[in-house]
Amino acid sequence: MSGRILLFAVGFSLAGGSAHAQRDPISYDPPEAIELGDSRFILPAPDDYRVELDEGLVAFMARDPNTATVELTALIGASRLDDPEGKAGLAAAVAYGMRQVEGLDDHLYAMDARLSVTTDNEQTRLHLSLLEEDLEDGVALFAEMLRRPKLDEATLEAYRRTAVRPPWNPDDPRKRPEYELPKLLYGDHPAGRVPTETSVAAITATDLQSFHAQYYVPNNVVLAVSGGVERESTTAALRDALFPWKRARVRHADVPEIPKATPRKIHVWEVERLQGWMLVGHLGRHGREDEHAALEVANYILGGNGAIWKRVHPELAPARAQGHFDARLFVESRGKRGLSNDISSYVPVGFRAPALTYAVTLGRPESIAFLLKIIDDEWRKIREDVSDGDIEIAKGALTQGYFQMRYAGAHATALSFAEELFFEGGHDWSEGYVERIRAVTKAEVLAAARKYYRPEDLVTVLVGPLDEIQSSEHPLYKAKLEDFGELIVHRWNE
Amino acid sequence: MSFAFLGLLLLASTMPVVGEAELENGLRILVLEDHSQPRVACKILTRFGAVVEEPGRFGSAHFLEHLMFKGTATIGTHDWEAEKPILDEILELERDIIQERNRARSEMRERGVYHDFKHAETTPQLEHLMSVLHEKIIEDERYVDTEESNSYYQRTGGTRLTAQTEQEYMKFDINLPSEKLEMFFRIEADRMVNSRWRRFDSEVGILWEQRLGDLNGADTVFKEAVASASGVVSPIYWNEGYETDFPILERNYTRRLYETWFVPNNTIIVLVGDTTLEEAERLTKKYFDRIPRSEETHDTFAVEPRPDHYVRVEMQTLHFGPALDIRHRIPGVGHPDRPAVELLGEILGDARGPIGAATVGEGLATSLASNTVVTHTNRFSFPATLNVLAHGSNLEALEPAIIGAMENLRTEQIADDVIRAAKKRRRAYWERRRLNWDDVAFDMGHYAIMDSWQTLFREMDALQEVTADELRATAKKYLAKTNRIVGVATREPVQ
Repeated sequence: MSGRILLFAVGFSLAGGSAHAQRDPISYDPPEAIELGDSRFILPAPDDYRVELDEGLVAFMARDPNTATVELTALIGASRLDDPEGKAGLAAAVAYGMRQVEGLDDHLYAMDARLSVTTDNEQTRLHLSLLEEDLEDGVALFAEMLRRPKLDEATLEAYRRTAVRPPWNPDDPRKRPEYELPKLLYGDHPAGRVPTETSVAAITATDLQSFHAQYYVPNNVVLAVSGGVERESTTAALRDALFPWKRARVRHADVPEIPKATPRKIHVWEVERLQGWMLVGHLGRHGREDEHAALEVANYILGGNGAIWKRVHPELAPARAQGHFDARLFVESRGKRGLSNDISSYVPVGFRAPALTYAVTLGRPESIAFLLKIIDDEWRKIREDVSDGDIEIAKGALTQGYFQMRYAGAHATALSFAEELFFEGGHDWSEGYVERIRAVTKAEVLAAARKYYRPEDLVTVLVGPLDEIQSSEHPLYKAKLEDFGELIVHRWNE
Repeated sequence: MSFAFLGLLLLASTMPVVGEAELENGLRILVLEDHSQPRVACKILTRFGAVVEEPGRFGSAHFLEHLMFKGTATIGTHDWEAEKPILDEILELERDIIQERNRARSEMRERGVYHDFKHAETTPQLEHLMSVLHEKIIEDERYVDTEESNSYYQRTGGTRLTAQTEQEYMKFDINLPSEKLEMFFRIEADRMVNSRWRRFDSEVGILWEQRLGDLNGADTVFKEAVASASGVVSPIYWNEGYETDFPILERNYTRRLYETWFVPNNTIIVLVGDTTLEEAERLTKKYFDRIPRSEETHDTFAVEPRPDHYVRVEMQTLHFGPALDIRHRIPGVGHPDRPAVELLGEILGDARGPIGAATVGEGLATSLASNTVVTHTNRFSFPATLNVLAHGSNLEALEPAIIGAMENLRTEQIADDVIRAAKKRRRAYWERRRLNWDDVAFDMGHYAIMDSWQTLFREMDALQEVTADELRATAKKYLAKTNRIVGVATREPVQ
């Protein structure tokens, strides 16, 4: 692969013009010569933000006197893994019921409030963004959705109509890989189940109400409240709106072991487009393992920065490339060869079930096999070789960059502490993060990489123009998709 | 007297205290202090963009941004003294290739239009030159470490490293811990004056990838067609690069652009966060003072003629529609009418407003959206458009419903509650946006490029004061049929 360069200008005409004499460089000392100060960052103390409401409900509240907006978030311990056998979609149906409260759209319109409700394998998340002047109405609406969602036959009927629709726009199939890869890797395991016509038909209104009664309890919820809020008055408003609300014992469904997926397959959904979109991955982390700091350094070097931010979307972070310019996948595919505009890798943490470790990328037909080759190569190389320079850059980026940004502003701070309590059960992770990252050694990075990057297990989901991909060859690398695993072509409606 | 006093109070209510300075070489600095977090959102904006491009070279401005990530004479090379002659030779070889192609143009000419017949694509001399060029590029690879400058940012905790090029600006962004701020000045001064072109052909591939990504969006071609039909002369309506433009991108041409436009007197630095004007000035002087002022630039002389006709664009495609994209030309940022135009745009896209009631409310549209293109006003009489996009299966009914509702706005008063709701949405938009220092820094810099940073805040205040009468007058002036472009997309094969 090395030693050859593709010249785009070959075979094409160049326009007229004369050679340009470059201006002489102006001298600068090397950046290393700059004396930069020590970090001014001080990790906020979670207790300064923590508000104990009643019955085990905890809120993290951060005031920003300079903003007129308020962000209200509830992390609810109710996930797809709690769906009973044969009733996949129940957790999402209850969340859907939050959006059906009487007059919701009118309230949102009047306040210009932004609402989002999501359910994944770890949580249900309710988020409402509004102006400070509407705080009273907003808190009331937030409490209404959380405490008294509309869980009746009408909601269920409406949910059934939407639940089994594919989550991508028919005109834009790019989201399909992130829908298909979890299904393929989790198989029949609850972590990979999606609602079907049969499963949503089996859900009853009584199921909705029972599920809500079991999981939407104060000791199973953590709140983040931030922006133009006064601690005392907002605490009082939340208490008034949410209570009486009784704590209850929460029993989550047992999560079985996941059978290992058959590796090295290329699953293709063919679509007439100019590029192909790929997710390439395998089962990943389950729980906060000892090597997590070393693995975050390894992943930063390999392909991105997803480790810190993406752990809040455990089974599959939003599958778009968010790598950095210096990552190996990025340099090899984009910097050196111009194959893809975006490529990155993620190692999110799954707390209730394993998350997925994966790379995401896209490219024109002739680039696809080459990109697979680079992912495969780099998945191996990170297990064998990292330099001290790589590690130094990663440590700086993680501790002074991405970690600090978790506390950049009131909303980020409140949400970070709420997520940490919700997922980790305390704040040891943030308190020791910088120290742990700084202490990571090269041997630890390689050991973590060998354990968590398994090239032999990689499964690929490709959505793109298959015929063009197979018939076009990159001038610098000739391969077929089959070279990377068994090729399985699916019908689009499958 | 009392009215003027009230105006000043309103102005003071939202106008932030911004520190401003200008170096002798013309480089401007804007600093908005906020010490609540030990970080600084940093932007460097250049008054340069796609409006300087010429047909056949669309995409060059954006491409230049990519090239400016490829290192400098001081960063990104293992041995500058050894690499320099190779890079010089590469530029010379490209010049020779251009000369040879021009010499042989009768044999190889391309007619500039799509056609199936191709003339000879090369000559023996051209093949020889390309071969030597290839060797030189491979030779240069021995010295290249183009990611080095990015890694300085990353190791010091820089986040949100990115860049962007639009019609009128190019910007580079980084968010740094405040004690590492000096790195921004070191890297960006070097980028402004010492950038060198490495891995040129790989980057052409990336431009191609980005274009393909745009074309995968089902509505891209439609929106581009409507945009390019919206004006006659102004390059603001031109699209930013086609596949046919990319293969002829040149090192020499892009270097001319770079050395003409990336000069201190064409540049604004904006900092928002944990710093002061004094610190910013000190660091700016330390790194940028040594860069001399250059000749003043002028991007385009094109002035769009006052429109006096109605334009209609119809597109049949299998991947998009049915949809309507109805545009009206509007003045750019800084024009006195702009606040009322912005508010009118907000109302036009309101699914519960007058257009929404006639379309979404009547079951004719499944979605309705509007936006106003933000562009400078001084050099173009009508540089921007107010766009309304509606999706619906029955376009024969949808189009007259929208046009009819728009005509009503030109003669009838808009209800107070609709106006209040629109003003609130604009206020909420800004309140959300200003939570992010990077967004605030960009907006200040963008407005400074287009008009002045104060205009950003003045127009927000002014928008809240727009009356129903002013809205009606604005609708009457700008929603006229002679100022309208209607795009119609139907989902059907071309027969």
